[in-house]
Amino acid sequence: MNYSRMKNLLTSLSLLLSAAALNATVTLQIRTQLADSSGVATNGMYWGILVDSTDDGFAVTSTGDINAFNFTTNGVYGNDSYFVGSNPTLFAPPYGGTGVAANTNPITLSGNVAAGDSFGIFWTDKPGGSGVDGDSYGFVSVSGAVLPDDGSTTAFNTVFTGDPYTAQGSIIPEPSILGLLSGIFALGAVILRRRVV
Amino acid sequence: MKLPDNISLCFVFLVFGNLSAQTTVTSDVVGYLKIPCLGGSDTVVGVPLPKSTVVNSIVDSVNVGASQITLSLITMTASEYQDSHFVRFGDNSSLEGAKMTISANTNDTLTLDPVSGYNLSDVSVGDEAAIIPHTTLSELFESVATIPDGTEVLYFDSTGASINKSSAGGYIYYAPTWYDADNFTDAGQAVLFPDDALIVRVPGDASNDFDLILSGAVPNVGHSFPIVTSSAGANDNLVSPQIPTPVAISTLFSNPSEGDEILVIDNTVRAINKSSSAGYVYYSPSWYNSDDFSVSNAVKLNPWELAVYRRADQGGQSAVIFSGRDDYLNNL
Repeated sequence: MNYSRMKNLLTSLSLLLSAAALNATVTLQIRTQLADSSGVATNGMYWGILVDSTDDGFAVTSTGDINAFNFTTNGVYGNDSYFVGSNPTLFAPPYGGTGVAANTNPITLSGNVAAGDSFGIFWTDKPGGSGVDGDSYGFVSVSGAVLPDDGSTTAFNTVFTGDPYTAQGSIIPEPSILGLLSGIFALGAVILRRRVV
Repeated sequence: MKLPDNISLCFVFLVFGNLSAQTTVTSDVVGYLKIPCLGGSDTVVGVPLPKSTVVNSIVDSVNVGASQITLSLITMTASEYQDSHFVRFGDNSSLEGAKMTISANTNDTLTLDPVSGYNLSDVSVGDEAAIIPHTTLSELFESVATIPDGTEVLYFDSTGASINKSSAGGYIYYAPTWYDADNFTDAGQAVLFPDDALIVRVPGDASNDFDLILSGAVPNVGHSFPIVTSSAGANDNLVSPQIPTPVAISTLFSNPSEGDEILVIDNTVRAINKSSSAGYVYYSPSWYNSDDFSVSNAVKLNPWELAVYRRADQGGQSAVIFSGRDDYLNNL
């Protein structure tokens, strides 16, 4: 092989290697039981993983209040990336039975989402519910819950060992909705007052 | 024919019939192949030997728009082959070795599911067509006396546009049931597609080692399988072509493009989520070892333990067919 051909070959190899870092997937086998707000492991709850993709800590804690969030599709919460599970929680005999979060879909490692990012399990407690006002939410992250290297399929049932985890947070109306509601109440109060007069 | 230690092809030509009637029926050539699966490790596994053919016929007509072929001199029961069998075209066809799952059938017509890269307009009247049952998950492991609990089989999606892919799904065993690892329904009868690479992930350690003994009919036609190109960038195809003997790279991968790459995973290394142990890259007109850049066209690979064919960016989505005839066919 002459020099120019070797150079071309090495160039194409380097392009291949650089491409390898750009577009790869991981599949997470969560295999962990999730419970509703009463602590009962429950089937049919939408869940996903929340990835601390900007390494600034999670935008949600295991208790507290959050605004309505759509748990049924991939999305963003604060600076975190949400990847919905491939199925809502279901009955999986090998992993405790009821309410098991089984797998994610293959997650593409791109943009800010990279191997080594921490992640937590994020779910809403009503079977079939999408995460609206009045529902509860759950969030749990533990040491060792980090995205694996690209191309891997990795189980985390030995990482999330405290299951079933309970949904301890509340989903509340967004501020704009609160403002609308308070306006309605205020208007109602004025009407009542005028009628009294 | 020189074969590696873990392969045996039993040449069995059973002759039946009545000589006076001048009818002779020969059976398939059968063989078996042993794949050691290590505990605490991933093993790449294909389905190198299909089950025996249940029907041999010839194509009487083709309806390309409906993806249908009508067979001559045969009467089938409606739906008896639906999703559970595939058609493999014979050596007189321009689609020799192509395999297509039967998605429906009437008493004389098959509706086929040609994967990207195949075109039924290439089928001609008179082409030989064999109807073959898909191998099921349970059948793949029927030789294993005790399957360790937690053993998994992972499968991949070659049509997705990316490299370094994780699994698209899988199955997990807890005695006595194989479960779909996504919805935990019984998956024992899940069909395993010929030419697709699977990863068998066995938990634990060396005490869980076992051998898969895969038996079946030696294909009597050349190989044919699709390689998918991504719409943008390179694309990993996880293939284990249905061929039961080692094949030279240039024969196995006969239709490469500049920069295509083969990544081989070493089944003898005990680890999960392994990186490739060897690689070859194509740069016209040869395949090169990507470690030392030696010409590697004649290097023989075991098709049943292949993993990744990394198709270089072609500037648009497409699929090409890799086909050829392997040396062992001359000895059948």
